[in-house]
Amino acid sequence: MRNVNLTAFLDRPVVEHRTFLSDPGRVAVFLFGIEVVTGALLALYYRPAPEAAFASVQLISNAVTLGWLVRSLHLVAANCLVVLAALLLIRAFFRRAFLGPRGFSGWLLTVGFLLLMLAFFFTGEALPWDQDAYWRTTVTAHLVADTPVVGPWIAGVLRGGDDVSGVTLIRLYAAHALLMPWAAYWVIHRMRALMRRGAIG
Amino acid sequence: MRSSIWILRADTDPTRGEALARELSDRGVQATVRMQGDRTTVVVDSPPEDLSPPPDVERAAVIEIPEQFRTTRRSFLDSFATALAVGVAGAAAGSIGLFAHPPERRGDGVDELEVARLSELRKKGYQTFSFGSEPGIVVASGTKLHALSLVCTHLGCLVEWSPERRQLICPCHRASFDLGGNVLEGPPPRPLRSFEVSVQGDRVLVRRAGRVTL
Repeated sequence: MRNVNLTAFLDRPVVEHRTFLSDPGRVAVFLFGIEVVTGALLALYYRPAPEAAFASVQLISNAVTLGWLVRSLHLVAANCLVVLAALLLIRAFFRRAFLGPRGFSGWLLTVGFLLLMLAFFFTGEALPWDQDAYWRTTVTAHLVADTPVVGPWIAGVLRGGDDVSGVTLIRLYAAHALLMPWAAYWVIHRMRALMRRGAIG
Repeated sequence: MRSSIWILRADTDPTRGEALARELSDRGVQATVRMQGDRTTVVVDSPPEDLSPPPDVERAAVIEIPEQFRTTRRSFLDSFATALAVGVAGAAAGSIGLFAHPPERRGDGVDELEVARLSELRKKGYQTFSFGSEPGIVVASGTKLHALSLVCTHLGCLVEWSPERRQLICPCHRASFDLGGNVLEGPPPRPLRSFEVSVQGDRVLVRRAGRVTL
């Protein structure tokens, strides 16, 4: 088996005095990959229904073989992604990366990346549907509803009704597991393309 | 690759092997000394055609190692990296397989429980019990016995029996249920789950119809 192209990997040109932020796109892809794999595994057991959600999360953590590991990996990688997104934004700010020919689109992507990661965090945190999750969702929905003009409409879409209920849980789950991963895929892809052209960082 | 193997006579000096190897390397030929039991052997890599073994060599042999069996630094690193990658992938696949295999349901195998003595239940008015992880309560009301799950159908809080109000109250959102499990007020979407109760002599038995699905 000589199909491991070690030489090509070792000969790949890299920047001198390299840190892990020299190639943040690769870090993002790695972390996002962990999220996709562990998320798909968690979806084997998770049930987005108010009476079953908490029990299914308990089942994953306490009864399923290595379930605690899969759930922790999902959480730890999610934390790392938020930290990475924040670091990228801070670095772009201090390097004035928002100036220059493609700077502004890069800046928008960086901001969008952080907001998307925070949205993942918000929706993911609600999924165990314990008291914490329920009240956090209620508070966030109230905050969103206070946005001028469009606030009440967005809050209505988010909750799927006038109150936080089982419909809300299904909506958060659908957003977390079905819609937002595609958005994240697109954002990371665009960011990597811009990084290769030197427009971010 | 060709190699010559020279086995020195048993009575040669122990330092003779090293001397021979130095002599050969001075001529630009690579040689290594190994002990085979008490015999000194010298392995000569790619021996030149005109090289003949010195007189103190007892036996000499030429062996041919086919190219594909030679281990170079590169081929070793290649195999090592492949083995590492296969190992990691195997461990990951194995872990995923273990994760995907459903666990045994614990405590849910019990479908019938003896929860109280009828005489004590009449005196106390109610008795709590637990089907595995699902807590329940049996309440004596007049001549009838009611057995209900304590898990609120709204968000899964545990409801409490209030003897004064003769209702089950959920502390989380002030929902209340009657003894039939029906919702009297509050947000729960469904009645409380109820269990079958039967009395055999003085024993009060509670039976759960279906299993709790997780």
